[in-house]
Amino acid sequence: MNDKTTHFGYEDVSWDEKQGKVAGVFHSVAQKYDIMNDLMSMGVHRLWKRLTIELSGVRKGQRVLDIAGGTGDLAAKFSRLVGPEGEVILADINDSMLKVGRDRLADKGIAGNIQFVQANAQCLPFADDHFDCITIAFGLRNVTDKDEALRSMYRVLKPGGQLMVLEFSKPTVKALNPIYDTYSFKILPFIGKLVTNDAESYQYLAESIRMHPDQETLKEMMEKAGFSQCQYHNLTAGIVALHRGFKI
Amino acid sequence: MSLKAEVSMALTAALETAINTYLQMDPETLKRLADFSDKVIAIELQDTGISLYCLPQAQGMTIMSHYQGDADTTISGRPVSLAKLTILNDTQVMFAGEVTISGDVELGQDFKKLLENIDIDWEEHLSQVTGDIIAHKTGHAIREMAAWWRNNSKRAQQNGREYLQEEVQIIPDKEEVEAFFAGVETLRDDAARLAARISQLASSRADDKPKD
Repeated sequence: MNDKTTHFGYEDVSWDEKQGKVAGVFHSVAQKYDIMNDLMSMGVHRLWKRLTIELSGVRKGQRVLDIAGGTGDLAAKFSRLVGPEGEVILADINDSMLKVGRDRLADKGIAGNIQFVQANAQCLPFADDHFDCITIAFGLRNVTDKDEALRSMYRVLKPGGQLMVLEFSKPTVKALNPIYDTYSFKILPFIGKLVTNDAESYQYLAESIRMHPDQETLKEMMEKAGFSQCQYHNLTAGIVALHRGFKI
Repeated sequence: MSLKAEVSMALTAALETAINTYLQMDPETLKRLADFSDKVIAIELQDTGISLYCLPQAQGMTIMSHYQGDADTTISGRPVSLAKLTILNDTQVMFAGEVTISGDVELGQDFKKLLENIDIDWEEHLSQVTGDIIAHKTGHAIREMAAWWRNNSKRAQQNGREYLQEEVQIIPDKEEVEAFFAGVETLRDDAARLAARISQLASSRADDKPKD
C-alpha cells in the first residue's frame, strides 16, 4: 500500500486512490465526452488536435501510439496517415472511453490498422523502441505518476521517434486569468450539470488543469525522462500547450 | 507560433468541412474515393507559399497544410488557374502550362475526373426538407432556367462580339489578330537576323584591322 498522497483536483488523496477516482470521472463522462469537448472549448479543441496531427510528421507505414486516446478522434486521423502498412494503437486505461472510441470508429468504417488496448500509461505493455510517434492529448494531467508515464513512453518510442503531449497549461496572458477562472469554475460545471447531469466531474476537470505542471516544468520533466530537443508551443494564449520531445 | 498556426488550422478545417459536406451529398463519389485511400495528392498554390495535401478515403477527405512524407501526385498552379480548372473545367490551362501535374500523372487525372463527376441529386436532398412535390417543381424550374441561360448566353456573347467587331470596330476580329501576331513574329525574326549579320560584320572587320 502506497502511503504517498497526490492531488485529485484540489483534493489530496492517497496515491492508490487517484486512479480509481479518475476512472469514476471518465466512466461518467464517456458517452457525452465529445459533445462536452465541443461545448467547453467552443470547438477549438478540434484545432488543437489538428495542429498536433500536422506537426506529428506521421506518414505511411509508421506506428503510432495514441495514449488516453479515448473516443478516437486522433486515432482516426492517424489511421489514414499511416495507411494499410502502418499501425495505430489507441490505448486508454478506461474501458468505457475505449468502448465509445471503438464503436465510433467502427461506425465510421475505420478499421484494419487500428487496435484498441486497455493500458496504464505508467506501464505501457509494448516492446521497447516500437513506435514512431506517441501522442497523449488531454490525458497526462489525469495520470497519477507523470514521471513514470513519461519514462514508459520513452522506452516504447523508437530512436528518432517523437512524443507529443497536448494538455491544458498556464495562460501566458495574465489578464485572461479572471475570465478563465470564472469560465472554468462557474460555467463549465454548469454546462456539465445541464448536459451530463454531472457537475462534479467538470469541477474536477477545472481543478486538475490548475494542478497540472506549467509549460517549463513539463518540459523539464520530459528532459528528465530522457527526451531530447524538447520544446513547447503555446496555443490559445497558453490555455493549452503542445510539448514535443524526441528519443535520440 | 500560436495565432497564425491556429488561424491556418481553422481555415484548413473549414475547407475540409465544406468539401466533406459537399461530398456527403453524393454517396457514389464517396464510395469511389475509397480507391484513393492510400494516396496523397498535393495541391501547390504558386506564388502564395501554400500547399494543401488531400488524403481521400471512403469516409471523405482529410485536408492538411503540412505533410512530411512524399505526395503521390502534385498539382501545381496559380490559384486563378486552379480555379479555372476545377470550377470551369477549363482544360486549356493545362495545355498552356498554367497548371502542371507531377508525380503520378494518371492518379492526378483520375482524381480530377472523380471530382468532376460529382453528381448531387439536389432534388432528393431538398425533398427531405420541403417534400417531393415542391422539390420536383423547384428542380424543374431551375433546370429550365439553366437551359435558357445556356441557349441565350452564347447568343448574347456572339451578338456582343459581332457588334464590337463589325459595327463600332473597336476590337479586331480573329483573323486580324492572327495577322498582327504573324507580323510581329516576322519582325522579330528579321530583327534577330539583322543583329546576327551586324555582329558577323563587326567581328570580320575587327579581324581585318592590321595588328600593331
